[in-house]
Amino acid sequence: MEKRKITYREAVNQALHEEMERDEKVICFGEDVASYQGVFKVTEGLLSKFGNDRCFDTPIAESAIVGTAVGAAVTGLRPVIEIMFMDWIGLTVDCLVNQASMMHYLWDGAVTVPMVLRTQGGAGSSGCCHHTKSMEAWLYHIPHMKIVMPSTPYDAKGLLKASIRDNNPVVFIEQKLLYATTGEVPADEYLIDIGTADVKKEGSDVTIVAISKMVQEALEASNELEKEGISSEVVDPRTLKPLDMETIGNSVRKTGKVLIVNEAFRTGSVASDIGIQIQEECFDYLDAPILRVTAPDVQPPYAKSLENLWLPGKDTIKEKVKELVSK
Amino acid sequence: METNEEMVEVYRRLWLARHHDLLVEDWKLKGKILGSMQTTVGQEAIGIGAGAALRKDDFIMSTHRNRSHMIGKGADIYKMAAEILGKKTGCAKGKAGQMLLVDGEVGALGGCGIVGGGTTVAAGYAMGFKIQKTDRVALTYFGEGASSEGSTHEAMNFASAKKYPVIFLCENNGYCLTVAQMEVTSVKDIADRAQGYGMPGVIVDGTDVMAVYEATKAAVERARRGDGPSLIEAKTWRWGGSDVGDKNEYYPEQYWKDAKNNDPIIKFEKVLIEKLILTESQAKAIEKQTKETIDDAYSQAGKDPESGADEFWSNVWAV
Ligand SMILES: Cc1ncc(C[n+]2csc(CCOP(=O)(O)OP(=O)(O)O)c2C)c(N)n1
Repeated sequence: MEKRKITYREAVNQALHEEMERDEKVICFGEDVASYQGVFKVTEGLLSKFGNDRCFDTPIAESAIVGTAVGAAVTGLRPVIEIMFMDWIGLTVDCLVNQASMMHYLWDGAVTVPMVLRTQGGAGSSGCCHHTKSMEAWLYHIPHMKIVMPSTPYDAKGLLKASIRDNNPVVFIEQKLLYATTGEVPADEYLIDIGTADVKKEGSDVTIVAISKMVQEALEASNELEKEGISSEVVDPRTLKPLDMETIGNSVRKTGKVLIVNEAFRTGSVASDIGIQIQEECFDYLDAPILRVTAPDVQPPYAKSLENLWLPGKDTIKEKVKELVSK
Repeated sequence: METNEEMVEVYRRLWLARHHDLLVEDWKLKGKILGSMQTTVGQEAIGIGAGAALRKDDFIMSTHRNRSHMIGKGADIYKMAAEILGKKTGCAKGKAGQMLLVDGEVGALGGCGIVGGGTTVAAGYAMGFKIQKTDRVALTYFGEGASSEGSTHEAMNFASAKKYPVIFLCENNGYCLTVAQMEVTSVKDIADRAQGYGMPGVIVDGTDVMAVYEATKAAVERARRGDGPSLIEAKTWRWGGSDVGDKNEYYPEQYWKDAKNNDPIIKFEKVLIEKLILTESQAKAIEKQTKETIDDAYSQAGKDPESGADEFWSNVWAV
């Protein structure tokens, strides 16, 4: 199959173009997504190709962006909305937890809410606490809502297309530092099933479950550890909800040791929950306590010297893997 | 601004704000400042004029575009510079950066990167002042973009119903990030919204520092009297685009023309010279001296130490 090397940003953009071409019910709106084509240029070309009815700018009103998407989805459209930075997701959470995710279940199938909320998070660009955080744990807590968090262009494209075709509310979380990263993507159309993890690198001593940009960090750590004789397997859940516990469990049952890496506040993190699920399903196979690498329970500070203390990454991952191996 | 000295101080602060933001724009473009950066160039008369109508013990709540607000409230220039450079000597030891600038000594509390995030909190400052029976007031700046946020509407209704002493000062520069106001806003004049919330709403020329001062003064007096909040809409132009690096390709030519014809500093300088409060050479000297103040602050702060683990782990919990 023919493949092309594209960036993560292009992958998301291509998915949007292809799905909007395929289905005229797909519309795209948010702050600065139309004429400016998004502050990260992810919505490039949509306005000129599909016109202002299907791609438009909104007022700066996040709760109304989500609320209108929910309403429009009920009428049969398939809105793909953008919340520019995930730090502001709090403004939308009420509508997600009390409307979007409730309707299909509590109204017992009377309606469906096929919408995708695209957003992006991640530290490392001195954005301070209003432009840095990864708040997926808040959304993870909400039932009836899927959460996708891809780490490569291939995953981003295939999963976004699947998200847009899904009949449930889906939150699709991108990463600002991944936008410029590249990877191979098939020239032909493909989809990736929501709820399937991917083993990004095979190994035998330790399982590293890493999310979003932390997959990159984990792979770098894993490559360096290999030179020191430590073999680690890197598993990327890709979808946080539903979580592919089969793939994660298979890896853990093979290695017996597991480290979970999540760039987010430690307490109540998705990493914590993945840990307890592993403990419930794989307890008899574990040879060491489950460890986490996360950000601390401290707001991300601005200065480089301080943000570096906040941000988890390759070095901490290596340290923790070594700790596990020594047990 | 009752005395000549006060007017000269306002003039000086206008230049401090201008030179400050021209410097950070330059340094940001050269990669010497991290993060995203918004400047207040062209909008200085609002923060400086309104600040002059406030007392030191009043509070302001600012935005992402905050430096003139901070300087207008008398915030420490050196600590601001050091903060923006991410240094230990900064107002928050490098934790907050440009978007969340703060100076608790003068009630500048503070910058805010959440559009519309400050309006409710400012209403809360005013709630605190009223319930504790002081005559202090709070003033919140917000853009016409932020006027679309639900929080802004909630804050205005709440504060007006309870007659909290808060001034809602909308800086209308016509653009919400890159989107023109009228594409996403139901009214041209944000001041019209005041009627719906039962408070006075006035429009002022936001490039006329005296006009901003007078309007704020009236609103402050009303708030101190216990008559509740006001909305002031200051019409202005945003010279520096949404962020430094933004090429402003979306501005029509007329926007630039109007902007350059409404330089708040030139306007005020004319008044001061006409009224014989300053001579041209005195004005020049002030301009030069403010530039030196800013240049010195930045070159000095640039040499200061960075924060480390001690600062990182400080103030995690209040004791
Ligand atoms: C809650 C929230 N939504 C969106 C943004 C992104 N954003 C930053 S500045 C801005 C435009 C704000 O417009 P306005 O309030 O008019 O202020 P201006 O930048 O024009 O001074 C936007 C949308 C944000 N920082 N916070």
